[in-house]
Amino acid sequence: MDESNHPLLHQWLSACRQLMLHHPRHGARTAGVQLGYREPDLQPGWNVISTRENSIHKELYTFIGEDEGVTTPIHPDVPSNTIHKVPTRLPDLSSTSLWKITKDLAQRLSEINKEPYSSKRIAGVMESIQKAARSDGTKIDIEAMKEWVHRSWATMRRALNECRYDKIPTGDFLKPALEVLRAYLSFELPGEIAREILAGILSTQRTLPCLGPPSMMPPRARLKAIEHLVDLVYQIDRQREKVKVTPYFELTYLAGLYCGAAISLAAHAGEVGGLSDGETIKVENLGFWVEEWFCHKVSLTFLLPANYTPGQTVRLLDANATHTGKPLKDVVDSYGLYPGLRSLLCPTSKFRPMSSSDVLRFYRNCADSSQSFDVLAAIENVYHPVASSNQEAIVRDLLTMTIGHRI
Amino acid sequence: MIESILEQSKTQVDKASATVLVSDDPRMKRFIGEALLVGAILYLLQQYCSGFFKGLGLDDLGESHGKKARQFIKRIRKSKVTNEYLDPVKKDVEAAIQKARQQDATDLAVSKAESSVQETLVEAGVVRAQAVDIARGLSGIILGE
Repeated sequence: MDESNHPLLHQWLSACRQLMLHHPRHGARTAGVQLGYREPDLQPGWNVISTRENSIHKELYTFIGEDEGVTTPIHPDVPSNTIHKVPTRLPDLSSTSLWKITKDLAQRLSEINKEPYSSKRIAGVMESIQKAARSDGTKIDIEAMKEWVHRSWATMRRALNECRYDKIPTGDFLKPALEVLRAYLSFELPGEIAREILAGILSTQRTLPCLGPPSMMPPRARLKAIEHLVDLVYQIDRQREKVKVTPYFELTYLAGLYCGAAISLAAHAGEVGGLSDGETIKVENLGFWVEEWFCHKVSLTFLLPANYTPGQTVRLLDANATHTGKPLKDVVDSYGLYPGLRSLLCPTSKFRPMSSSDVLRFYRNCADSSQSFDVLAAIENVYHPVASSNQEAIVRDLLTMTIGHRI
Repeated sequence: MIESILEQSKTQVDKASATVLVSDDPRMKRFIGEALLVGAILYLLQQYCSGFFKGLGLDDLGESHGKKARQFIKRIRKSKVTNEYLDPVKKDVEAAIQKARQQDATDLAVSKAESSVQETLVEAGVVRAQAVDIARGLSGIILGE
């Protein structure tokens, strides 16, 4: 079943992805600012943003100029009292337009109560979003993380015990990383927590035989993990161009998590050290690229389908380009439009004589003629989060432990 | 001709790659406007031509374009980019592409040209698979393959 054939479901799933990509209150605020319901937080000139308490940089400075801008952790060479302090408090989820839309959609979908999105499942997702929104978004919800870390650690520990019985439990040992992905994709975990847990699991897996803290991961294994995740992000981007609507958005959402985990691992690498100067620069640059990739290719992809029909979307973007004087392609690119819909706007606008229902039909036809793609199956095979070199090392370590027990 | 090449190249060089190219410090994230995007593409085109001429054995010509490319990127990483600054670079790159098109595009020349672009991108932080795609895309645009 592709969501392009179920407009209500497509809009609700898009809203859930927008809310759970990072943190629900963050996603709702971004939507409010982008769609003009809220005042932009940044003002022309220099701005200072206080980051989360566990971030590498406590403050980030952003300059907004007429046709240029920059973000840096380095205090600019201007008096502090001329720098606009950006409010850090995120809006309460219940007060936001996006949450009101999501609730309304959930209500209407629950009344339909059709598998695989039964009313029970929808209620579960809505509850997860509200639970994730309880933290204020300025620091990670450590309690929510602990529960998952303990569960993952226990699974890996159980798998290690199997080594005593002549088994090499690679599958069980690698399972926690896949469980985090499944929980994130089904909206049980918000991106801000999932990325940290995934980065933690990928690190801990490489501390055999002791299953130590993430900082014990060998530095080059961490570099391999980062390289692997950024490779996957690019592979996923290429694949998503060819597929139906549901896998297009699922793959984008998955890429968001891999970007986040790569950024977290790059931050660990900076803290722990142990790499050569060249490798350290490489990690910094890959971290930089993947952050930019997330901003340009992932962060706004769910915003428009969460709020508008395909017909409204093409008209809105066309009007936006006319109003701002920006090239239509730039406007379209920044919102990560589904390729079929994009073809109605770029390289030339073709939608003008079409009614909204014509646009919707065109959208569905594009989806129907695209490839089916099972994202969960792909994660177990081609998009597995564990780098092959790290998987090989894990198998070797498990084998050593099995032989050790036998001796 | 150069404007058409730049427009086509925008389909290959995305904003994430352009951002890492025009920043010499990962802590300084510049917003990519039209001028900076064009600057990043011109830099890659210069690097392509430099590698291409070296692959043909025209080492002095290749080195001269490589030197211009390095000076150009150093400048755009340090200061604001204006159209006035980009215009002469566009003319220079256009002349280099015209010259490249007059040559016999040997496998070695194309390979050196693409390697030059790939290494430039990878060094800046772009993932290798994308660097390969961008380099091949530029080959198609410059040499019409």
